[in-house]
Amino acid sequence: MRPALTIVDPGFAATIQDRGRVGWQRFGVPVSGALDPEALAVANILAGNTSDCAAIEVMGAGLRLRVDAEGMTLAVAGCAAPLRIERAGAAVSVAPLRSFTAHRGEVLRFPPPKNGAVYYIASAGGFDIPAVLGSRSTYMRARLGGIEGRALRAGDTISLMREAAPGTPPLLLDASFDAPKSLRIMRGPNADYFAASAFEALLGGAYTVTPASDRMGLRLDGKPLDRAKPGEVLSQGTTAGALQVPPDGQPILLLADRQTTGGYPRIATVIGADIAAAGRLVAGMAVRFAEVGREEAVAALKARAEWLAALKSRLRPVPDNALTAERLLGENLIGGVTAGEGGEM
Amino acid sequence: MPTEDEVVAPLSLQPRVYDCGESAVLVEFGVGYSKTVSLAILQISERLHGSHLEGYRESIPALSSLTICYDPLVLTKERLVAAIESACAIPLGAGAAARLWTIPCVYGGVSGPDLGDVAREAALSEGEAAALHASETYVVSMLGFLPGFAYLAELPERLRLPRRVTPRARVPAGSIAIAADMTAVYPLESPGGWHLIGWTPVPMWDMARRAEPLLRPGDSVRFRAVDAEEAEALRLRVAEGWLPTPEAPA
Repeated sequence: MRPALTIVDPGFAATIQDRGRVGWQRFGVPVSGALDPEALAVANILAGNTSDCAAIEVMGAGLRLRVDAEGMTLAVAGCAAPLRIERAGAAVSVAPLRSFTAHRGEVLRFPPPKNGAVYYIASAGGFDIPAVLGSRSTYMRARLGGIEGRALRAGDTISLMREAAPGTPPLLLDASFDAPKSLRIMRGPNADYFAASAFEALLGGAYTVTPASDRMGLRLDGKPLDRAKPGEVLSQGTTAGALQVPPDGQPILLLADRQTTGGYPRIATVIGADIAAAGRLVAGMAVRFAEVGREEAVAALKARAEWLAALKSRLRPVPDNALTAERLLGENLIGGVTAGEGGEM
Repeated sequence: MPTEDEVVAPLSLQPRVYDCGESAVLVEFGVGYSKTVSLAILQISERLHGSHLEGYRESIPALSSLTICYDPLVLTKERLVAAIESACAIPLGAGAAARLWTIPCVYGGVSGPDLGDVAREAALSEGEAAALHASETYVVSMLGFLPGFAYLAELPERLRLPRRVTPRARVPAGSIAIAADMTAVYPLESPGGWHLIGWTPVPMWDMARRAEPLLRPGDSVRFRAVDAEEAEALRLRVAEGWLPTPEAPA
């Protein structure tokens, strides 16, 4: 199929991501996938896609895409500010959390993530990217998935898995993607490596996300976590949300691109219901940890799953007043209009 | 260190289970590496993989543990632990047939820039150190670090060294390396802290052609010293799709 989008400017570290590469960790292949899987799911719902579709994960400023297909439906969800659609000197701003139609020749200018780490751009029909080991997610360290296993580059083109369907009415959703002030954890798996004072420290004060963080993990800075016994564990499988503690006592919260195995003991693990929120944290943010038990963690996971499952039924049409600016753009009557800024937020 | 018998005896009885959040468990079978335990873990992992247990996602076998990822909204921890226990209770030895690979290796020189240092530490000549490395048959005890990176146990005592103080930013794909009691082949170019003693033209995982890595947990591996000329000939054959053929181990 012909390209639907061309990357005019890749900005910083934009990659193709989906739900991740499940089932290959025994061969050393990290799961990868969206840092904020809830935002990915919402972008796909707004675009009318199934949940296994891939999206563009935006981590920084500067991404610009040219639309090469007529009547594409796109949607943005996550820690996002309004994007700008530019065409022949005219411009319009479109809020996140709603689908919109883009026309051939338009340039979409995406802002950096706002109050968080990432957001997602999904397109109706899904991006036609070859799956590697069952996933389209980019894992740059091994040059796997996405476009040649790397971040997007100027000149890259992306096709859709099915033709754009012009005339799709825009839809919107209410959802918030705030970076968390606190994350819930369960103790372990290597809790016995740590002193009682380490748990007091972890649960007592805030930890700040440092700039050395990336898609592998958040390097945190706070009160050091003291050990009850020294040494590493014999390399063990790692899991999303694990708080592993190197000898300096400063925890690293493992995220999507974590290695499959590691030897640093893990004091605690962020619960599944809060993994998406953890993926929203960026350098400079402070986060606290609260301990919960297993039953509470399972109940919280169930609540998140039910929330996601109910979202499709909460889609509603975008009100007319939010569409006026786009009509004006379409008739090419005005230039430089900014409307709908933060409209539904 | 306990003997292998002491480690194995409680293996089928009391693996220790730790939560990794609500969606994974770490099952520990001991604190040190033992070949018998490691092979048992691989078999238990394969059994869980083949069990079609609803809610089971995947497992990560490691040197002395197995990490199991699951969906707690479908599979309760109690049912998972029961499945682990029954997988442990079946007599071992009925797992997937392991294979024996012979990997050609150019030792030393530009292919293995650390062989001189390794030999010096072991009070051997470079030729003796290479011959010692090639004399052993290693077992793939786990994969990790990178896709297809196989940890091969157990390196001869005399060659054991801690990792390099300063890791290299770029280790070439195909580098054969050693650290502590393990040897490995780097499947792709990556940063790395192991000592590089050789190089092989054999790709550890050609994803364009193969859905699985060359070496699977439980396989056996030995290295065969080749000269640069033979390695180049093999490299050209690899480009045409050639891979070594495994044998059934003796």
